[in-house]
Amino acid sequence: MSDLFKYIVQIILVCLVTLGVHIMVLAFMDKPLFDNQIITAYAGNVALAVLIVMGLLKVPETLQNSRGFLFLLGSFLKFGFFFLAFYSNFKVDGAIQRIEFFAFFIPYAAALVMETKCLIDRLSK
Amino acid sequence: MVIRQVIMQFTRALFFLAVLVLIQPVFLTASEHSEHASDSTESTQIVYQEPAQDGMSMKQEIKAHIQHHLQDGHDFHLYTDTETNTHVGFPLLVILLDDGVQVFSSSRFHHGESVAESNGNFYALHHGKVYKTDAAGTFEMRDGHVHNEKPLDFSITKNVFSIMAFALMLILLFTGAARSYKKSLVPSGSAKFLEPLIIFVRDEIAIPNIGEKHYKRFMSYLLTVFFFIWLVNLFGLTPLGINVTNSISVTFALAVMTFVITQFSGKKEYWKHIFWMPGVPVPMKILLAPIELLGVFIKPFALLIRLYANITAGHIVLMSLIGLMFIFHSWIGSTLSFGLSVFISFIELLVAALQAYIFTMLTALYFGSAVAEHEDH
Repeated sequence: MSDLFKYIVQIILVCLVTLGVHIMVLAFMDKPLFDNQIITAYAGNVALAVLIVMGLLKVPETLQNSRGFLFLLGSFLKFGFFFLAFYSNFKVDGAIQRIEFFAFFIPYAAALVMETKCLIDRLSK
Repeated sequence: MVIRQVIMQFTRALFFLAVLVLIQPVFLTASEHSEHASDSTESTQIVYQEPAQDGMSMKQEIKAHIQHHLQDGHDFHLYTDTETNTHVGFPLLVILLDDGVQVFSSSRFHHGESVAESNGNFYALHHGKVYKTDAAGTFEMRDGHVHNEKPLDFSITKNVFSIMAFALMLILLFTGAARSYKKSLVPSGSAKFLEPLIIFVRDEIAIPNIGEKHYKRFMSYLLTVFFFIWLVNLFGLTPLGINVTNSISVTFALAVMTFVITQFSGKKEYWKHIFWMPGVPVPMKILLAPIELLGVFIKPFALLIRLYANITAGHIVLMSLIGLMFIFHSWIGSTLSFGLSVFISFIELLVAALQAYIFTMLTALYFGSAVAEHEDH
């Protein structure tokens, strides 16, 4: 099994488990389960994480030292994704509610942990 | 010969200043001051009118003068005679991205007293910022804020003009110095003054912090930053009213350049020390990773705030002391505040050089940590 495939499977699994827990907590709190673009947030973060991991693994030999820089660029990409797809919708009522914030932040954090793991593995080799 | 190479490298690297000039207008919008109206009424419309100078107390006038001095402007204003209402200075180019590109002279604003018309669009100044208005210059005020449309402003403001002038000054100074080395290796002209400073930056800042192996490729940027900050800080102390490093957009642009160069130069060991610190237990590594990652952003942030705050504070203190002379109206009070302002002026001369040194030294330190070849602990 190639490293890339292994990381993609890990990212999807971790995000699926996180989504399951997230939905359970929302159900426990009697909140709407699939509001606040929660599915878009998970799908978008998984897609971006896969893209970033691909970048980290397929980086040319000459840019091996710049893996961390690529990782940071990936984070900026995610901020761009947040501002383009979520910020204006969350701000419709004038403020970002805590439930809206966590709808994006939890999948972001889960994907970030997996990207960091991939980066650490590469740096330690 | 080495000095000549360094100077030649430096002149090429004034490219960084060009980058600074180009990106500075983008950050202008990020450094907006909050605009408060005197009356915060709901959904009121006010028609533009000349700011009332009359009826101001001496303290208010001094405060307004200091605030005006600290702000960037759309014209290069040197002096105003309040009795005859004459302004001494020169207009600059206003460039707006609104309904195409609008280019006109800032003299059309008449120092903020008139509405400027360009291709059927009307613009007026409020707290130094350009807003789109109607022909009467109406500002829509809500909660004490102007809610008029704000065009993307790429104007040659006072700060942008100053940066261009200083860049040109540095190019002339350093090309002159570099040329002098073609005739003889013994420095002559401006090289006599510049050579010890260049050697200082190389031997006391670059080599100790970056190391012999890698320092050369960062010298051009370090020299540009050092001389640029020092020069603009010094000119900030003249009565020309130039406040380049007193604008957070300028220090932000400088810090962004330092940040990008540091991260792009970072070697594998640098990133490893951020994400998976060698030589510490695994739970500690997990704890340190977010802290170290945060540090990556905090370092340039501290760099921009330090320079901005020090220079702004210096200008406020100095102008307040000068203002005290007019408040005291007594020979002892005015003499004391005059003496103190002269003393602070000398301190500010030191601060001008010190801030350039600190910015360059910390930048070199960050570069050094990025390219260091560590032995794992």
